[in-house]
Amino acid sequence: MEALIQARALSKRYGATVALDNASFSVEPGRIVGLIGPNGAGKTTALKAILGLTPFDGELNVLGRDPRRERHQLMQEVCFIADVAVLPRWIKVAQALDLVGGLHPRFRKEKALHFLSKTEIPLGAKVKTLSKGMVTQLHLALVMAIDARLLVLDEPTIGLDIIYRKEFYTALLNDYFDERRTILVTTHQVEEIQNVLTDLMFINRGRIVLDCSMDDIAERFTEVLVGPGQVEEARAMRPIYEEQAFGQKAFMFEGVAREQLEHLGEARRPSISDLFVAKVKGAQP
Amino acid sequence: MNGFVWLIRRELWEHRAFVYVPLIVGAVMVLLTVLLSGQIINALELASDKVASMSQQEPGAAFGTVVGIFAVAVALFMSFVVLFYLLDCLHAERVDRSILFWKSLPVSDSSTVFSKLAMAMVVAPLIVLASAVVFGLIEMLVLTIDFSAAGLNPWESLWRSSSVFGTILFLLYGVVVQALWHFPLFAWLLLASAFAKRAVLLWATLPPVIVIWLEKLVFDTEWFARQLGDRMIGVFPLAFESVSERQIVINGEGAEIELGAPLAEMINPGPFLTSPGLWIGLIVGALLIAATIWLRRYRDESI
Repeated sequence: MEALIQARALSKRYGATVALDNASFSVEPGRIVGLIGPNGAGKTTALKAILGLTPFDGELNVLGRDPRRERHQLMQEVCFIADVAVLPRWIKVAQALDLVGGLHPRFRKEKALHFLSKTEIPLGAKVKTLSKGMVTQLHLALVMAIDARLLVLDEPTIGLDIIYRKEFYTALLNDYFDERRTILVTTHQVEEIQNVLTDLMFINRGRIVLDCSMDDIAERFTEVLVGPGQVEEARAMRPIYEEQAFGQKAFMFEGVAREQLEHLGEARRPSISDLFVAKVKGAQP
Repeated sequence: MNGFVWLIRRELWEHRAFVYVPLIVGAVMVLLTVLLSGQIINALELASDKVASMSQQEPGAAFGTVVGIFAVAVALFMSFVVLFYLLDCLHAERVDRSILFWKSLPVSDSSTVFSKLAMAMVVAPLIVLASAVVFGLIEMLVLTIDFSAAGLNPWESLWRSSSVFGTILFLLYGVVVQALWHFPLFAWLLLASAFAKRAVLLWATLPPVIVIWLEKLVFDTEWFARQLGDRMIGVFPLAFESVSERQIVINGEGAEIELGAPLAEMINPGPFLTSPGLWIGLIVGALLIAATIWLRRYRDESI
């Protein structure tokens, strides 16, 4: 199947700051891709490039279009939630539904009303009177009622309490996602989405440092807890990262078969956050 | 096209002043007339002979005058609404980041900018016109009662051969030429709104002030200032036959000039359409709008 997003050598600078440094990646249809990186790593810039919100150098193809020149046509089939609380504060809930319905040919108002009926949000309320969690719910209801092929979420749950955060992803998975759709999400809170993702992309200093499906992670990466006696032996196997963990050392190996590592200690599939630290900090000079 | 109507509706939802300022101005003026009815009736009684003879000379002027006064008053307040609207509309969305929501909709940046421009050039003038006519009619009803109470025949002195159609035509022409003439000013304000990170009003006013100052300093002339003044209020001598000229025509041709629609007779598009000022203004405005669209499209606010 043809890639939904195809990026080659994306570069972008803000003055002296390099936001994207020759980043190349692709996103296949029907996936939920997590784009994860430290602050200032280029996550938001990459998303903005994909959404046609910022000029950049390099080649980028989203749903067969160039987002630099064709943003508004692209938005027929791409939805995004840029951040919480970007809905205009003056708008009433009912007005927002009417407006998106009037401006977006793929929006189905009944669907949005259905999602909203599961919340406490009154249709007559203005956005500025809603709580942060409600604004996100409203935005999600608007977006889920649009029949789009690509949904882009930039830190969608930032600043929300834990109940809303959980509900957010549950709603997305149960009521929205199917094999025709693709979701690209950035977040700091890696733990809460690791069971949701099908693919993982790490970005650091404008470069893609990992692009891997969740299924492949267990094969490619192994984390081993090594006792003090075997540290040197473990180092000889060329781990990509090591750190202190409860009197033991935790080593991260990439591309080493698990059978070769099991004699060193307890070998396991790494969590995304450990893998993230290994990939990002391990790459520091 | 349907989408454009939604964009206009959205502007009216956000900027309620476009609707309630004309309502308040019109209502206050009518209310004042009602409150002052006693004095008006007294004055009419005192001067009833004069009023009667005046309305003999120029019947039909009453409606035009009343609507004209309302139009001028509402337009005066509306121009402030439009001024602050244009300064705000492409700036506030960047400050509260709602621009990211608007950009998530399949609406081009040019449609967005044109919708804001249309608010100033089409929607606001039409609201002025409609409110002037509606409140003018209400005012005429109030005056009808006052005239009757003063013992004057309201039909003879107020309504007879009042050309409602001619008055509306006059106003419609007035708002069209005014909008075309002001187009570069509107475009300039929009550009300032799309450009400035803060202090939009300063960005909008400072550059022309500096140009005027520099010109005075270097050439000791006031060309730019005069152009600017002309741009603000200069359309009326250009687009309308002045009353005094009309008087001459009447004198020259005798009393044959029909008096039914005096306002409509002042419409004189020839000199307006052939003036270089109009066309230069349109070109300058178009360039400024192109720059505004470019900024709305490529400006990246993240750093």
